[in-house]
Amino acid sequence: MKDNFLTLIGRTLEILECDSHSLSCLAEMSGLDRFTFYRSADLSGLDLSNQDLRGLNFDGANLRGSRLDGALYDQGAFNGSKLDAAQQGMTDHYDVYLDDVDDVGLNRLYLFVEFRGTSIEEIISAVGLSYKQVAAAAKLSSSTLRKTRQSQPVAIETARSLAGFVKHLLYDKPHRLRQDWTVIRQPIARFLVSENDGSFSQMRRNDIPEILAMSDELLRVRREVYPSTYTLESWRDKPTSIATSLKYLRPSARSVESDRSPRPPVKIPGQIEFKFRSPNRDS
Amino acid sequence: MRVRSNRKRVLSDVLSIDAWHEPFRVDGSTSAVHVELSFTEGRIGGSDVDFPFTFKVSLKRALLTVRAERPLEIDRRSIARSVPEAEIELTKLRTARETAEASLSGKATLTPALFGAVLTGATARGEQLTQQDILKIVQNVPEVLVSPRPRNPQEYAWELVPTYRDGLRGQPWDPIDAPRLRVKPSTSVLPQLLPTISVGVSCALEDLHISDIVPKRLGLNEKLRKLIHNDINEAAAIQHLKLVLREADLEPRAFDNRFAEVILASVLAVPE
Repeated sequence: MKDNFLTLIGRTLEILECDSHSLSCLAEMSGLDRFTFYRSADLSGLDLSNQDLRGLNFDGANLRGSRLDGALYDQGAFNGSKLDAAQQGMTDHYDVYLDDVDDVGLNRLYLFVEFRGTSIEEIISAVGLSYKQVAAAAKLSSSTLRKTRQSQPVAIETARSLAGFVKHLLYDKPHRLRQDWTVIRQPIARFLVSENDGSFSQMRRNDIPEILAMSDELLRVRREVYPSTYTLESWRDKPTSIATSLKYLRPSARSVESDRSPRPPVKIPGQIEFKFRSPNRDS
Repeated sequence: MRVRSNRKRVLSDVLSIDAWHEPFRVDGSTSAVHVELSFTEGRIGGSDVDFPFTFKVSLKRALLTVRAERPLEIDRRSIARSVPEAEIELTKLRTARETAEASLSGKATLTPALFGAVLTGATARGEQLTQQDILKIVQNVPEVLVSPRPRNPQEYAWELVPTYRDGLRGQPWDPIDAPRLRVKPSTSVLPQLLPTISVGVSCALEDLHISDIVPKRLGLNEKLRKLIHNDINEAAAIQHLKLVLREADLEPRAFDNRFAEVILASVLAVPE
């Protein structure tokens, strides 16, 4: 194992002394997943102009002061990066990955999903099927598929059907897609919450763990008060109403966090572990 | 395991840690848990023949976690609170740091002079601080900001952020005078196998600051080395090194690797 470690360390030197200055080539050289290689990297103050950055994702990476003019990149690749104000034009508001919508933990929240219409069009065009064929394969109606192409909010179940279809193509029939085609690994959608006036507002992906931790608490409080009404399977709530309900049902529930005895998260029978989980609930 | 020992050698130059506790008592009184922590910035790999290069490492931020095993209970009133103690002061210092950081461009690093200028408002007034002013600020402001982070009844954490430097340096608190917390057994009889108190230090991948990789290989003179040096290659090499160091000993906690933590040290507190 030590030999393996030293081989990897030796590769660091190869990257440092490589003739190529292309981020993409250097990530390829590392032998690691090039898509995730630059996540949380410090790329500040670099001249990356005219580089081909397609197939790379920069979540958490610091690109302040870097030159990116003329660079080619996937849409959404910089959505989680630290950028200068002048670079903000390279981002849009989509922060949710295709894998995220599959998370069954989200079943507890009334969430809607809005896809980036251009990405959906790109996927459909890449698989070489007609809209009707794609709709049938994804078990959606043509009008629902049209909604996703037009960046209109759809139910999370619809988003899951579409995500399932894309993943099926990606993993089971990779010949349908080009090998270097990583558009669908980038952030492609965003979560929406319906407001009382019928409008929608965005629920940031990073806020979901906290909302779910609160929902655990709310479910438990409700089951204490109304044990027969709230079953584990039927329970679902709007993220925006969770905090208000908690305040009403248990005024001290969120106010003295340090002195409150935390309880283990509620397990729904047959549920798999989900990623949107508060780190406070790990143990 | 050899890989682990190799990694430990790398990170042992970034921080040193020691932890101990007073003997547990069943008479209702509590026992103090002390943690001695010291951060340094240093050049790594020089004395290690296995490493083909040397590099500098420092930490931009770290998280200290103390976990007491059942039947021990943490006495919540005994938790060491923020350093400095006044909350308003902590907020002021944190805001000054954030403002100073935001004003940095490119690869510029935070210095006591810049932090002092922001803290005293000298930047807004277009003034220059004298060396004496800077010295005064450095003497009066704690080097590390410590903020408590409650986790669960058995665990407590403290976030450590440098105040006016780019990386963590020195001791964040007096280990003798300021125990991190106190514990007491919840049962009247202690189990035969005494419960343990584990102390760990971790950081996010982006908080591990690696710089200045210099190959050891002879035959390539300094001038030539500077000619082939490229910032992009260096940034990629540093990222690769971080990932290798992390993968060698990372305890996976998150579902994906986006915000995965690097475990820097993990020790058990020993009885005094």
